[in-house]
Amino acid sequence: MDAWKTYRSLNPEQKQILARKQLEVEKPVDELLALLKGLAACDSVANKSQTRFGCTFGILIVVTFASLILFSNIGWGPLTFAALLLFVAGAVASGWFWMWLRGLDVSNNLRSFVLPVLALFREDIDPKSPVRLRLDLTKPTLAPKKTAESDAYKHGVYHKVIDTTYVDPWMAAEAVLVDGTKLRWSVTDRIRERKKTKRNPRGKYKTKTKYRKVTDIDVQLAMKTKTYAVGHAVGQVADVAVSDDGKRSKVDLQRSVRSASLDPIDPRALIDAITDVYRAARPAKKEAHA
Amino acid sequence: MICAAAKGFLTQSDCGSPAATACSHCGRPMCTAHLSPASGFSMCYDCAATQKQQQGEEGEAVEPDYDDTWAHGYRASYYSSSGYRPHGSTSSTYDSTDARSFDQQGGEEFDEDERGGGFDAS
Repeated sequence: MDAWKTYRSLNPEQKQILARKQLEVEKPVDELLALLKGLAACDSVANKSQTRFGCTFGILIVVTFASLILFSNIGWGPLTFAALLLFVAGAVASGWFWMWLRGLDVSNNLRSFVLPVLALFREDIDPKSPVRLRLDLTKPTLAPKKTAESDAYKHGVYHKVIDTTYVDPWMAAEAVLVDGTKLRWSVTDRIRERKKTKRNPRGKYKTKTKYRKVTDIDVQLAMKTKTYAVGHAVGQVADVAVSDDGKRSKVDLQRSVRSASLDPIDPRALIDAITDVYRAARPAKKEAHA
Repeated sequence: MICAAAKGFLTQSDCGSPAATACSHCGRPMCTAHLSPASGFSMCYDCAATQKQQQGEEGEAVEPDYDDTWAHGYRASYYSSSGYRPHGSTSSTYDSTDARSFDQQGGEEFDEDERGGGFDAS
């Protein structure tokens, strides 16, 4: 019921985003945070309720079948019939809610990556300039994101192994910061799904699915040359390319994070990438005096 | 009185707004935008974050709200763990934590004075 109340409290825009699980918006940072916090709150409550309704659905299915067998043996009467009807109605209702809550589920990247990053940079982002944000909160292993699938091959005890790769560019953002710097970043997950099937000594087939994920973070900062001297020190930061058009120094950097699950990565990877550039940049006036 | 809060994570600037009240914990003057609503607007975000962190260590872990209190707490822990000092920062001398530690010591010294503190010995 908490999930239903939280869902009802969402505005039409938020409901539409939950239905599509994708958004492309251009809003001031405070409005953007308000929009995303509502979605995150709904996702959090829905996740908890989903487990509860899932368990209730499973238990009621078992109870329905058990009572069907029991009542058939003891004989049908108005009371047993009503009890069975109650169990069936409960199973249908909990099953429907479970499916509905599954529909509300969005990627945990929203709560574990997007919100912390925007909340942290809130005061750095120019409140007068809107933030452009594109998010894909659908599952990373959906068919449209599949890029390749290997032929089945043998490996050790596994008689059938299939590797599938997915590419999920799930976040892109652009903002103007209070110091005049233009900040862009994008996050793309490259996933390898490995399905391994083996036959155990009792003749049963067992399939395991394992994931490997490489998250590519691309950051671009266009810093005002009046404000920052982006010189030799920034060029020394790993995987950085620096260019200058006179007005702005453009710094491009890439970072990759490897993980053995589909869980969201720590937002610190993106934060570190940006602070590494700021750490190496010097205030323009100080550089001139030096 | 001017708000003593520092704005920003990547770069820092003084808030500069007129202070509405002093933080009940560290005593720094704060504007309403830099007082934590969760504390009933009595505590600054830095102190509210420290208090929340202490409560979190005692109780079970809950998902953060990602509000300004969380951002200030993350900022403090990030600066101390990474050694990052934002441009425009004046914290190379003393930060709010240092100031608070002086306040606590000051409190004990005043107690000593009230009991004489050695000056009334003669």
